[in-house]
Order: sequence, then C-alpha cells, then structure tokens
Amino acid sequence: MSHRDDELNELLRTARVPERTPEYWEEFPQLVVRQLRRPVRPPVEKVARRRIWAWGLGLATACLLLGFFAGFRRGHAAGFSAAEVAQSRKIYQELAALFPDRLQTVLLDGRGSQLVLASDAQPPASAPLLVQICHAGDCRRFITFSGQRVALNGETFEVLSDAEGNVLVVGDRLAWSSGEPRKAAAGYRIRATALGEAL
Amino acid sequence: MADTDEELGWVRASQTGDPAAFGRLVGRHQRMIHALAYRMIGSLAEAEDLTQETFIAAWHQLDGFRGEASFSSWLYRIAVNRCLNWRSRAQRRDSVHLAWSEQRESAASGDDPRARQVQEALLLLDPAQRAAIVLTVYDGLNHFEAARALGCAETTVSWRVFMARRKLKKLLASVQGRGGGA
Repeated sequence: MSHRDDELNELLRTARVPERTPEYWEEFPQLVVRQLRRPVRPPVEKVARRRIWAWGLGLATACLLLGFFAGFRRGHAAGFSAAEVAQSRKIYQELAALFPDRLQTVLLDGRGSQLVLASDAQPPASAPLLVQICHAGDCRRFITFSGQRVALNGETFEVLSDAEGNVLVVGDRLAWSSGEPRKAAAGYRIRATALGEAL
Repeated sequence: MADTDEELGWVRASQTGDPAAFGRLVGRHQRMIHALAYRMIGSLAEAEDLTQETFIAAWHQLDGFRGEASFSSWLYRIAVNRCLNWRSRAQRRDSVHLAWSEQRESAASGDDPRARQVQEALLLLDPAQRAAIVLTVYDGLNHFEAARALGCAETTVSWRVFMARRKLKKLLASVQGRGGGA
C-alpha cells in the first residue's frame, strides 16, 4: 500500500457514522425480535407489486397462448407461408382488375396461370380462396370462390366457404375442412385459406 | 472474524427457532451492519431500516448458514446485497442524495466538514466500488474476506478498490492536500 493510500485511508476514516444513543442500541435487538414474531406478511408495496406482476404475467401468458393457438389454427387453416399468400393475393388483384366480376377460378402452376372466366360479369359468391390439392405427387393450386369446382386427376371438387371463414373442399371420396385440416382422406393433402382475410 | 463458541451457540439456537438467541446475535452485530448500511446509503434513517431488514432476512435464511464462513461474513453478504439492491433504483438514489443534503444542512455546527466531504465522495462512487471500500477500509476485511462478502472474485475486489481509490483521490484531492498534516 502506497503512502498516498495510507493517507487516503486515514482521510476516509474521518467520516464517522452518526452515533445513536445507548438506549437505541439496547432497544434495537428487541425491535428486530418483535418483528420476527409477527406473522410473516410481505409489505403492502411488495404485495401490490407482486399482484401487478402476477396480473402482467398472467395476461402475457394468456396473450401468448392465444397468439399461439390462433397462429396454430391459422397456420393449419392456411397452411401457406406469408409469401405464398402475398403472391397469390397479388396475382388475384391483377387478374380481378383485368376481368372484373368475371373471374371464377385461376389455376396456378409452375408455368403461369390458367383462367376460368364467367361469360357474364357476376359478383363473386365469397372472398377469393386459395386452395391447394395434392395427390400422388401431383399438386394444383387454385384461386377460386365458394361454389366453384376445381379438378385434379380427373376428380372434381367443390370448393365452399362457411360463415366462420373455413374453407371446405368436397369431392366424391372426401370432405375436407380447413377447420379440421388433418382430416384429409383418400391420399389427398389439402391446404386452403380465404385470401380475403389477408386482403 | 472468527466466531466465538458463544456466538456459534447463539447461531445454533437461532437455527432451531430461538428468537432470544437471535436477539443476542443482533446485539453483537447491529453496529457493524448499521455502519455498513450508513456508509453505503448515506442516510441515517434508511440505514436503520436497512439494518432491520438485514437481520430479518438473516433470520429467514438461517437454514442456509452452514458455518463455512464466519457468521459476520455471512451477515455482511446479506447486508451488502440489500444495500446494492437498495441503491439500484435511481429514484431512491435521488431521494438518498436529497436526504443526505438535508441531513448535512441540519447537522450540528460542530460536524467536521472534511468528514462530510468524504461521505459525499463515497456516495459518488459506483455502489459496487463503494462496497469494496467500505468493507476493506472501514471494516478492515482483507480482499479475500471482502470477496466472500460480496460474492465475487478476490481480483474483482482488488480492481474495485483500485478504481475507487483512484476516483476518491481525485474527488478528495483538495481535502487530502489540506489534511495531509492532520
């Protein structure tokens, strides 16, 4: 320790703690012991803070769970990535602008789009629906509306939407709903969502 | 900081739930903890609250005392942690400075101005550095003992002491110059 450190120590020790009376120190242990004998109860501020924390934590957990289940449900209902939905929406908007109220189905494949148009302009029966049906390695993706028919492997499916926003795909051998997406049947894998929700 | 047999007896009795024995432990260590709290906090009233809190916390944690360190070291650790947490809230720090200023204003005319400046300088230190200085300079702990009380490495204590001293020398340069011969 250097000489200056010694000087500093000496200086620091000049700061004395204000002295309490001997009576205070005699009484102090009793004061502490009396508090030990009290029923254990956290201070009001702590209780309030804990309650706020508990509420906050509960709310955050509830939101997380809701978000998780909503995302889970939506994820399964949609089954499409955000990019896929965005791309389909863009295609739909462009085609709908070209053929107002005449668009019935758009078949999307790797080469481009094939359109099914109504002969007369007629307002669509629902929001546009994005549907993908796969079977034995063959997949087709459609943008269509409730009440329209699409085909894959020679089999025809009717696409419907209900009031709850679920998309239904009904064929001769299966009935699938986006509300119960795991219930696909007969070797078909289906994904569907209402594009309107994303619009 | 070795515990006496008598003190160890009080500790054992306290661990079995004997408040009277714990009261004796309080009586033995109250001034030490109070001084530590005052130097860490800078407010007499808050130091008193903190001293009580430390002993109450110690009572509830007595099962965790295994006698590996001395009872006073163990108590120090509880007190230091409470002081550091106490100081961690900015608004509380502000109020402490206010309390210290008020206390200083109302201090007796015979109060040593050098002592006031020293206490003010201590309060300007980072709390962890202040704790290192309080334990080593005022309470006479070596760096190893201070490290146990602070729950950090001995080298950390040495570094904090070094940094604190450097800062204190700057803060107290004028006082040190004048007080050199005192």
